[in-house]
Amino acid sequence: MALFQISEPGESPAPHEHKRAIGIDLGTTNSLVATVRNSVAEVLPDATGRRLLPSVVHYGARGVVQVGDAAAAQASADPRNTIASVKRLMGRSAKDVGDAIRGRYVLTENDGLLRIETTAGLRTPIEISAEILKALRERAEATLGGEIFGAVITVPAYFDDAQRQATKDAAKLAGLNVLRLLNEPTAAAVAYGLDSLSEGTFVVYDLGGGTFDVSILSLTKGVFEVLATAGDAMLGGDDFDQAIADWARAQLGLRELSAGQERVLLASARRAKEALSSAHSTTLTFNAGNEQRALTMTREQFEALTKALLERTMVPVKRTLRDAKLKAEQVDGVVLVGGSTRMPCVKNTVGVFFQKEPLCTLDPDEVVALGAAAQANTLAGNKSGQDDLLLLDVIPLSLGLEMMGGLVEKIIPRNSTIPISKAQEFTNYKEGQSAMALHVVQGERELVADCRSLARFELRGIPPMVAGAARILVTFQVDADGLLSVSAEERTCGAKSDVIVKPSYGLRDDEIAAMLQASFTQAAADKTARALAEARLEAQQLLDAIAIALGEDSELLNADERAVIDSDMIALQTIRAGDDHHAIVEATKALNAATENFAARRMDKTIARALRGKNVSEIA
Amino acid sequence: MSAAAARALRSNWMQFFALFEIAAKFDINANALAAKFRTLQIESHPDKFASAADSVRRAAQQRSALINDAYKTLRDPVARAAYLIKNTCGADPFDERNTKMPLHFLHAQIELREEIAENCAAGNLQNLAGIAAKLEADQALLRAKITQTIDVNQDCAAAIDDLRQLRFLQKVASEIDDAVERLES
Repeated sequence: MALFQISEPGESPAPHEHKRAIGIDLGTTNSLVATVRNSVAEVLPDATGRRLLPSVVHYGARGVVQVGDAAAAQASADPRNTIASVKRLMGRSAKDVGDAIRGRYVLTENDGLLRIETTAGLRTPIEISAEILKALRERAEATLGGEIFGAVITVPAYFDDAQRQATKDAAKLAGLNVLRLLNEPTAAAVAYGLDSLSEGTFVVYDLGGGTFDVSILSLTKGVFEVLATAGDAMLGGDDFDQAIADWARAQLGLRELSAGQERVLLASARRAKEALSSAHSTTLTFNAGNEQRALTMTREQFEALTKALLERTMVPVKRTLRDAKLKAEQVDGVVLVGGSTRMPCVKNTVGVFFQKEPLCTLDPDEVVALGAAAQANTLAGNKSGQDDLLLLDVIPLSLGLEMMGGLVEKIIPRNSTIPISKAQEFTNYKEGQSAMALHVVQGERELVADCRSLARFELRGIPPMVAGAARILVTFQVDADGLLSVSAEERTCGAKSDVIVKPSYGLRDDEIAAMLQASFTQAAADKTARALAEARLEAQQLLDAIAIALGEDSELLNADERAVIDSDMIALQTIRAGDDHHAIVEATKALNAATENFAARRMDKTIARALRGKNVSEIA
Repeated sequence: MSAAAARALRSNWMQFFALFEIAAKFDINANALAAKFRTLQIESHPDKFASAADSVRRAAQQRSALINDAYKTLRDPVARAAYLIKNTCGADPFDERNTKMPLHFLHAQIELREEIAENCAAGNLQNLAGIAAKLEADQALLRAKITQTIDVNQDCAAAIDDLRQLRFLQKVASEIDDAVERLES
């Protein structure tokens, strides 16, 4: 039948060439991996059935690294070496990081790159994220039975260039082939788009633990186009917990809580919030000193307390509608993403604003990973043309250059569809200027000081010219992952300079290569060490068994035979003390062979003893 | 885009219209433009070449970027008119040295700005929405005028005057958007 399997161009040639492609939601609190099997996107659980992998990494003694629940369990005993919420540190400098995180870990900064002190040494957020990604890759390999062809990794839509670059570097470090970085809301829309396959305009409302973002997308004839995106990086479910905790503190007249008590109060606030998603009232308990205090909270009270927070989420919602030039009633569907959207008040507020019931049939914690898996499957070429979705993402923040006086000249405005390239001409401001410094920034503000600095580089070799005569063409290029590269060229003489924008807050390529090399060497060393330990153990077990046998049955051997065994035993003991596991395995085999006859005679003797005094019929 | 590509782009005037296979006119069908955009991206986007060689992917990225740039230019009336004027008359409609504006237009703008400022101070979102609606109607009138000056009369000087006014109104509209956002938050 193989002769008849002729496929159309663009279709995968044979079904058995299915490539293992995965989607990864690398979250602040939890991470997930999903894949498409039998045309259905599904989250891959670990061996014990857990679907969410807590985004926690623990560096223990002797280089043991744990990820997930095992790592989270170490948080209270070994807080400094247990790194949680590392996503908040990706592509960030020490000054960007909040006091909460600075207080929790020992941070150092070198060449603008943040590192956390751990018992295993200094670790960058990129390396820590790579551990999480590695755990997910291994989970996928174990479940799917082989090497992973490629992965789609999701990032928040508001992630700037430095954060995206850091995420891609982490994936490379984890040994993943990145098919695409995908914006989280786009992934969520894909998951629903595939589900319903209806065309129209969708709003994705994503309220996570610490951040909020909203995107508007249109799906037409298989093309998902992001029309606008906006967000609030300082607003999330945690703020709802804080509102409850503040209320409880006032109600109970609590003052001067210790940091530990504060965390306990926040944890019970969080439980109360979660309970109120299904119940109409709940009891919040708190141990103040020796006294157990309890408070009843109704859903109405909770909703009154958090009304202002919900209203804050509607500001970016309205912004995106204006940017997309749409009215609320023109939206065909609203997708809810993020655990915080389980709160009924979120569903109600969003539903009332858009005058339609929000879509929440898919688990809000899983929807992003499911969409990423679907896109990974498409990019790996596992599907035939018809049901492919093409995703056109946008850059969330404007890209620009520093001009004289610390002002920003925007080159690519936010919400531009990617990939995109833009060239703009500049000139020299001084006569005879031989070089030009370029400072690339990202952000919406007018002043360089208020934007994020992405990279600095220089264009050299400009021939002497009067002011205003040089024609310097600067080209910004953003690829489909949202990553920027910049080049500059003096057009009258052809002097050129290029930069892949990453040095400010990222790892250089050679650093990544060195880390990868180190991890391979490390993996090889680990493997050798394990082989050696196993060989030594096996040798010792054999030596012990022979020593016991000689003690019991030495009369079964003549002097010559005994001498051979004794010398082989001494040889094995000597070799076993060395580091060569191959030699140990060989010596163990030799001793095994030398004692074969002895073992056979002992077997005969045992059988003879067992048979003594029994008649033939009993044996048969 | 390489410098060579940039040069090629300039030499091939009206390339954006050619790329979308439509006549180089100000009056275009927005829905047809959007449909063509999707078709072009389906053919060219680097995601369609995810497993192809690097050189193929780079070429796809360049073409996809060009399509995005063209679409962005053609779908926005101000950018589209500026592109047409640049390529037909060789004039830059937004030359900084040209500050000429009709007096009656400037008077009207001063009044409009005062009205916006008052309503922002009073936090009157409803009035601001009313001003935004009126601005949209004024822009529609200017667009109709530009269709006449460019597509029918091919009068560059008049088109530039109209376009400068249109851009002015577009900026005021986006300033109202920003003001509304500040009032909402």
